Amino acid sequence: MESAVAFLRGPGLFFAFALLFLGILRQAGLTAAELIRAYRKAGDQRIPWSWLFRKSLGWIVPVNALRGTRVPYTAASALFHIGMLVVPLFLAGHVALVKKGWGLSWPALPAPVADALTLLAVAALLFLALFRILDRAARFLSGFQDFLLLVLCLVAFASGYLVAHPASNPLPFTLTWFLHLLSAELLLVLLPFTKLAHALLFPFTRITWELGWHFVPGAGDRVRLALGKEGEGV
Amino acid sequence: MAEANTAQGEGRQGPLVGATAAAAAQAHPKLLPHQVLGLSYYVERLYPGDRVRRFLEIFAAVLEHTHYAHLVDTYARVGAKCANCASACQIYLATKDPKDVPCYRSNLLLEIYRRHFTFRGVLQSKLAGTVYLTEERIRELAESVYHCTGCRRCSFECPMGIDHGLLTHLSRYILSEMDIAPKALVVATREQLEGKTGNTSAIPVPALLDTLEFLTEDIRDEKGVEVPFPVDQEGREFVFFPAVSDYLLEADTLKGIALAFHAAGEAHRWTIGTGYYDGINYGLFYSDWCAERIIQKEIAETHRLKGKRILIGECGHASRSAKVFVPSFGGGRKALPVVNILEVTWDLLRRGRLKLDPDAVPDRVTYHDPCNIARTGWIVDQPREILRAFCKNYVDMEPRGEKNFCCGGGGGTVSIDEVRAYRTGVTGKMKAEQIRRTGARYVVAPCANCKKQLREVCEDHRLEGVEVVGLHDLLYKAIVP
Repeated sequence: MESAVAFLRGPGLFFAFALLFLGILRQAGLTAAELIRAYRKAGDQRIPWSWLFRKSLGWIVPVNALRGTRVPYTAASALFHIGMLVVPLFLAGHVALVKKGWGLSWPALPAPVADALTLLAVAALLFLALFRILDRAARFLSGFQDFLLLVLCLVAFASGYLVAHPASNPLPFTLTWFLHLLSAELLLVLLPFTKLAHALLFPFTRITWELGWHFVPGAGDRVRLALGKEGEGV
Repeated sequence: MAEANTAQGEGRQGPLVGATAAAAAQAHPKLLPHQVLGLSYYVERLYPGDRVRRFLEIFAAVLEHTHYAHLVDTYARVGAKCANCASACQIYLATKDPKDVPCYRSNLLLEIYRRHFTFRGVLQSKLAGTVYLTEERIRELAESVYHCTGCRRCSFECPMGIDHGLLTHLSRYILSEMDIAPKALVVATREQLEGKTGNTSAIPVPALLDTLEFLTEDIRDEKGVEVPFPVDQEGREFVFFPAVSDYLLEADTLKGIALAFHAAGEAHRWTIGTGYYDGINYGLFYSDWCAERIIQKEIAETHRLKGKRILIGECGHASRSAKVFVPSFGGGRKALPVVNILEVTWDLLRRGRLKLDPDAVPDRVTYHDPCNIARTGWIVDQPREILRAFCKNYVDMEPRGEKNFCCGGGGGTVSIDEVRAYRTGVTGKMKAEQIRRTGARYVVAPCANCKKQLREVCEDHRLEGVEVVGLHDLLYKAIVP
């Protein structure tokens, strides 16, 4: 166990970040190339940028979560996402690690705030998991990946909390440590390669959405030509 | 479903699946629409060769030559499966069948893409030695995409911006290239693009001219003014394209439009062209190839008459297809502007050009937002302002505007008579409840599709005394010429 933790703290962490970085490059490259290709081919190249920007922003503002048709779900989702974005980046322990390793530093969250966000995220995750199991539509849509990622997030948050509060930790410290490192690193690795990619692609999905309605002149004819259907009627 | 089955009348079902569907539903009242609806109502002929291979060939050609590659590739990567769309979908809300969840439907196509067109998927298939796509999967996709009315309510509810409506459109386009498309749509489009009359209702020019003359006489009798319909006038601002079926079925709408222009003293702004006079574009529902050819006819006729703008009548899909396709296929920035008649009439009213009788319509009036003009927020307030100007008792439906419920006949399904029980019982169920709650006598629906569908919804749900009309039908009553 000790050696596993040592591995995860050393080369494991390095590999996780390296894979994350490569994965982000791949996503960015693919998205940029495809976006440019679609834009070049479009018959109409006018894009309502400000409308798209406002639409995207609308989904980021957590207050909007309270106005939808599924308030408990969207509220839980918002809480989880806030925790997920804020805590890993601004936790005092993480900031200190980065400073020690790379010499970079930024302000950290006060411990009680980080604790509260973590506990809220854990509660939100439990609710989301419950929803995924109980809601008919969500259960039907869900596959292995959907549950695995939920569990990983849950383990990462819960074990992180226990690592930070050894006094209230019923588990062996090394095991908690191991679980925290493992789940967090798995999440980093999986981020660009699973549905978590939405974290990276979110800013671009509205442009994709808009370009979807910018058709290519003559494309229909070319498709039929490629299929050997030229001259055929409707 | 029980409601749908009891709601349908005798003899209204088509000869094909409709009849068997009714019988099946009677025997098993709990059957979900997936079992009730068959496939044969929309297939005219079936591709005779290896259909799995053909599907993949078509998909590959579409990815290569159109703009969809980017869309499909991005969507295949981001879907979070949050099921937010389920709560927005009126079909899912009516059936509670998870196969009706928009994300599930979109995933049918996205999974084919992942398994056959991405490195990981191809590798996976090679290693496992299996082929993902099967005839059964094609059949499921084909059935699923024609359950959807393409109202795009879910598209605006997806946090990831997945446009389920567009993915449904794409699936239908791919399927149509292997001849899986509703007969009703294909036959009409064939007449429009390759037939003698060149329009979906097969109305020849002499019949059109007769109709216009007849409408003029009507207006003379009812309003005491001479309102000729301008035909083939060059250099006018608007060249007018209604859903061509309006010339057969919606005389009051057309009379209202002509009278509004006349009463405002601006009849010199519009014309109808005898070269082409059909706004309908079923390409929006199933084929990009057809959509482009149809839109070129509108553009050509407008240019022939030296018109400056394309004016679409009271028709949702005609408006949106023109709004989307004219810029795409007609030169982007240089393309002809597209306007809907409601925008023009609203402008006449705003400028004080119309004198309306405030007592013309004492009954309660409500307004149904056609998805194709309201979903993006394009035309939401204009018709309400017009109606409030002369209807004493106007009430809104809830939800309304961008968040409205579809009439239940969108995406071309309204043209398929065989699925009436499904349209009114399942997809139109929410609408029937909405209409009932308003207690309105008139439901104003400025869309040819919505009108036909809502009339059937009212009939099948026994909403007695409710009359479904166009906006200009009511305006016609109120205009003081």
